Amino acid sequence: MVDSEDGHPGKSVAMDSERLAGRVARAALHDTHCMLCEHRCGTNRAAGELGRCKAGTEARVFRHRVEYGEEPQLVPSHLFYLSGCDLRCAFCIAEEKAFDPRIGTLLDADFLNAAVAWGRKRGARNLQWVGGEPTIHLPAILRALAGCPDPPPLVWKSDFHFTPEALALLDGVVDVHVADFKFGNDACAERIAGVPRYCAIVGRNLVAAAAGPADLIVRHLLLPGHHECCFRPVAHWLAANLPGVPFSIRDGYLPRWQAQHHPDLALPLPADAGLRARREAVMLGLAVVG
Amino acid sequence: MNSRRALSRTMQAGDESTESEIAIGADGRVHIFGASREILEALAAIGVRGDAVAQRLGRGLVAACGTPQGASPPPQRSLPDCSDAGESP
Repeated sequence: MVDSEDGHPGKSVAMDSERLAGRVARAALHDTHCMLCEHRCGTNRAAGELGRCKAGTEARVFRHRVEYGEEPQLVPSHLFYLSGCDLRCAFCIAEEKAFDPRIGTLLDADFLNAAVAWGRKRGARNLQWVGGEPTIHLPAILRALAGCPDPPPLVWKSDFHFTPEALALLDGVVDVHVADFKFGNDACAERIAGVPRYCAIVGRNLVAAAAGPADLIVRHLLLPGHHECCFRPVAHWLAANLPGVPFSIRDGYLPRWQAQHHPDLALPLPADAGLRARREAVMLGLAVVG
Repeated sequence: MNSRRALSRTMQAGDESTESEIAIGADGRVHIFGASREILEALAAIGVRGDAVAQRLGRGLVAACGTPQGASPPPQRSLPDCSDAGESP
């Protein structure tokens, strides 16, 4: 785990405004030289430059709602969907909203306070940042949170393609990491999501997050035709490295977005894929949830 | 910014909060994205297979009411099958 600047292992409720202000200041450095994701493009977003994710310094929420479809231990969860992503997954269910950071309502403290109150009235137990990918908007999210005096517990749903610097900014801020471990090998990740060195990066971040103060849930969306090349390596990696971490196997795949350009992804998931994967994960001793 | 204007902006982004997306596969599986409590209750009432719905309704009731007794397990009928309810991107 990358040490935070203050070494404090507390969670969001324990982070006082002074410490959060420090995080905001540190995060703002990425506005001018962005190293939040492992593309490490160093883009000066404050000057209008656009990196791979095309994000500026502002974050936009294209949808927020209280949902019951997340892992049972998280629901009801108030999900904030931020536009923009550092990956380009061909099967992304959010489609163009995930990849165009200009879509949505500006995230600021006024918006967040009003939205949090709205979610609380509907029974939300936590606030979950999703995308797209929230990590590319970390400075803007922290700025908004700094103006939110009583935030709910925070869930960070991420592709885990972030840098150790980004994870350090999250340390003590978020209560739960939900990690999307999408691919079990680098070739599939490069072909489907356009990202190199995927397994080494995500594996490193998973180990670091598991050692930190926040809870960790690892999620894997089953892809048609990717049982042997993706599900199985993911499951075996978890069994070898993080066997006690809750493992959420998702079988809700639908061929959307640009999936039709990939013959393997253009098909629906076989009906028995979820049961098969869960049985295999249990046989490996994994803590299957959901 | 006053709170009314902020709320207005909030609801602009939250328009889809009033929607859950449902896709029904040719094989009868039901896929739900952004599942609301009401949608899960409706699925429970028509008897979806699997425990994904009951698990989530149970948690929701615990959170909202402080009692798990109100959770209604779905009747054990064979169809339709609810694929893992919800899949955020």
